[in-house]
Amino acid sequence: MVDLNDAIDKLAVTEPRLARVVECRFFGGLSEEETAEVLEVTARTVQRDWAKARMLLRRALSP
Amino acid sequence: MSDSEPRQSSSDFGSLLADRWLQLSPLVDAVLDAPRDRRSSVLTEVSGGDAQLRDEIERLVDECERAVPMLDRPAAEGFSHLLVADPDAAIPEMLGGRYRIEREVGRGGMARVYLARDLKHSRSVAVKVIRPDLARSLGRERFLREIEIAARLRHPNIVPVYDSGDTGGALYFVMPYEEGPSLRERLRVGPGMSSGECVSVLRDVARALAYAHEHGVVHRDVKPDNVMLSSGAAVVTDFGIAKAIAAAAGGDETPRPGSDSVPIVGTQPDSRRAITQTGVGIGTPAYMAPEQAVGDLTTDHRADIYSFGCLAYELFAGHPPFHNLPLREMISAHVGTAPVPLAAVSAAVPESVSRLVARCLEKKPAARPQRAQELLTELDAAQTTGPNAAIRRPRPLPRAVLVTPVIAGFALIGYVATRDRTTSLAKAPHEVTMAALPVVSDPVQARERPARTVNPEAYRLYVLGQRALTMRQQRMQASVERFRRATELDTLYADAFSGLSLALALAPYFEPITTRQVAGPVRAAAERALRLDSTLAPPHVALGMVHQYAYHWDSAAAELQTAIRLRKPDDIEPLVQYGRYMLHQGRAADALQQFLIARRTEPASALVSSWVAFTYLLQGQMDGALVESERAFQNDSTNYTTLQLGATVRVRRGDFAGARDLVDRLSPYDSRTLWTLAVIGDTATALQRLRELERRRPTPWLSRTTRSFVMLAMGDTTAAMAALERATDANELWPAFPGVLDPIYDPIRSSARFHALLRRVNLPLSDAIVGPRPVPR
Repeated sequence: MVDLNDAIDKLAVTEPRLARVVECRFFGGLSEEETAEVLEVTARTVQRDWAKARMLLRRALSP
Repeated sequence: MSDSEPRQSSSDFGSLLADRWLQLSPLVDAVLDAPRDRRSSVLTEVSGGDAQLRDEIERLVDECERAVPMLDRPAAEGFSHLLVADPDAAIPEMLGGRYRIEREVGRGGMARVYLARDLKHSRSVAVKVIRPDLARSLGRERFLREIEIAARLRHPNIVPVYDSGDTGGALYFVMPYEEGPSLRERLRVGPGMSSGECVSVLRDVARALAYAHEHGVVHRDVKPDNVMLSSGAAVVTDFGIAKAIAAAAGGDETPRPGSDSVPIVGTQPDSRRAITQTGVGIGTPAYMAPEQAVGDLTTDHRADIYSFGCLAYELFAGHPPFHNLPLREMISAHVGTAPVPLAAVSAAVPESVSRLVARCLEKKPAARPQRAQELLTELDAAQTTGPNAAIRRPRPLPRAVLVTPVIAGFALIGYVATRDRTTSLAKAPHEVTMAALPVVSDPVQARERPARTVNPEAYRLYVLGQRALTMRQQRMQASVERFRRATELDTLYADAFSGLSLALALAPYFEPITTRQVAGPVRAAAERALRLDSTLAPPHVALGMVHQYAYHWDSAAAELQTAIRLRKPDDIEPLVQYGRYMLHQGRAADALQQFLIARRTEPASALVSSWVAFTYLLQGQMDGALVESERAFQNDSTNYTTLQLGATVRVRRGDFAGARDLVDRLSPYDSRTLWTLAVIGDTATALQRLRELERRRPTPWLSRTTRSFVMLAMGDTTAAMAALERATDANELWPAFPGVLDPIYDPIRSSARFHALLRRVNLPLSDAIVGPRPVPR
């Protein structure tokens, strides 16, 4: 099992924006809309990024 | 960074290689964006008839839409750091019908710590509740039995365990509420300890170890965080807890230590496997004995002697024997690298102590002092003979190893690993000994993130502060306020202090506050941030800027280079500021290089594009400047710097109407606004506003620079020089924004009086700065 933080760091190397979405949504507890505002992208982009980030993190975390 | 090669491989996502993902990502996007009933055809379309590719994309898309329970609640609501965490396991208000939980006071790798009221004895106690996910994997009876043994310890240098229990799903133990400080905190913030104080602390710890070992209890996690300083004595806390957890996780059938010691030669593959399977390795890497590091089941009380050696080493040297290393390499060093002798890193250490520490740090347990009592005897001798000079300790500690615990004193057992954002990922497993590294994939492994917070409101404020910082829209005050409030909500929030230092450092550009006023607060915030997390880049940027304000360019360069080394992959601020430093030095080409790296990192940044455009302008590349300036406006047409620099680009192009349009969106009294108005011929407005500005009392910050700019635009170089000299007296920002290459200074560039001023601000009289301008192309 790998630490989630490591996985997020990995994500930040390859996909910095996805990692920021995770930071806002997961660590910050921001909603999709709030995240979109912070990152200055559309809510739709946040939604898509969040889905992709979860997939990548799950893969990074699985043994 | 030199190790970009291995980083590539460690940034893969399980079996999905990072490169492959980057190829597939746009295809996945296309499918995700398609309405559900169109997905199938879009899939076929993007995979271009390649069935295998189609499957691969489809699988990824499916996975994208599957929930990840761990992530589906914000971190603050659940256990933020571990996959196995169960957010539903709430802590009851009462435990064992006796302890009323009052508030959480700390969180460590393996437990949460609560301040509670012991109703039976009407006293405050600390209740440490084992993380529910961990507790579930423990044999509870075994755990409680082990704790029971530890609870029998009664010694003035040991924090006693009052009670333990298993109720309402929570596994906990109870200790006196110690406010500390811990030895860790003392090391971090206090004045240097004298050699005598150090020896005194070590004697107390040795006494505790000697007593506990005699009673069959090992600590297994001796480190400064677990030593509390109260009324002149050092008391060791969390005795036996690490052992209890290890034992309760199964596999640890070690003969009771202290009774007799099992000789250890090398490592035992079987034991290692057992540890790997149970997934428990306990300890803190910086202080962990080699046998403990490789998960040797025969680990006994002599591991405590080793950890004691590490702690003693740190007291005198300012850092444990192996530090500044990624987790794996640190463990590897414990196993196979001889430490630098203590005497070589600290002059103040008594020779007898240095010898003792070296023996404690022997790799083979049999070569160490075999009993803690022996430590005591040696230390007693040292105390009567040693020098007593205060120990000067290096600061700040280079990496997060030493700044780990969010809650010093309550940081419990477990791997508190280096959180090294940029480099640890890059390190390849370290040959030989690494085969014996069950610990690295250990579910018990917990990582502290001193940079982050678990307080959602503090995080919200941080994000808002960061946004205001990025936008540069005369909102530095807002940014400062938000960061400040975040630091008040969570006084250990390194990122918030870091943001605060940077926002304060930028404030003089945007707010009526002087560089002299911010210097102290910037330093305070930056140093605080670095003490909490020495891997942060922004505080170094902030410190670099403060040096620039004092015209100390070399110190500024050093800080900015450090910032670049430490920066997170998506952090452009160090690059932008270092590029600007290059502009101040008249090195436009070098500046451009930094800005272009920043642009590659953050292609949509208006700020970066503005600086790229401005640098092109300085190099005479008018076309490039125009294209890049356009790009900046497309990225964000409200960014303050974009408007300021964009106006200058337009003036140079002769687009006066365009320039006017831009400065109308700036502050009416901004120096660049007034220069632009004057240079495009509206001298009446420029002078009128200048007079309004200068009528204010006290003399407004940057008003001297503003006068100088207006005079330069109007061709009155004598008045301009006089104003610029007064601006220098007041430490105004003219050499720093946007730098002396600015075409604004062209009318005085070759004047001796200007050269004298450049010398005053320590800038080189290079050709680039005082020579003829490049001819626009």
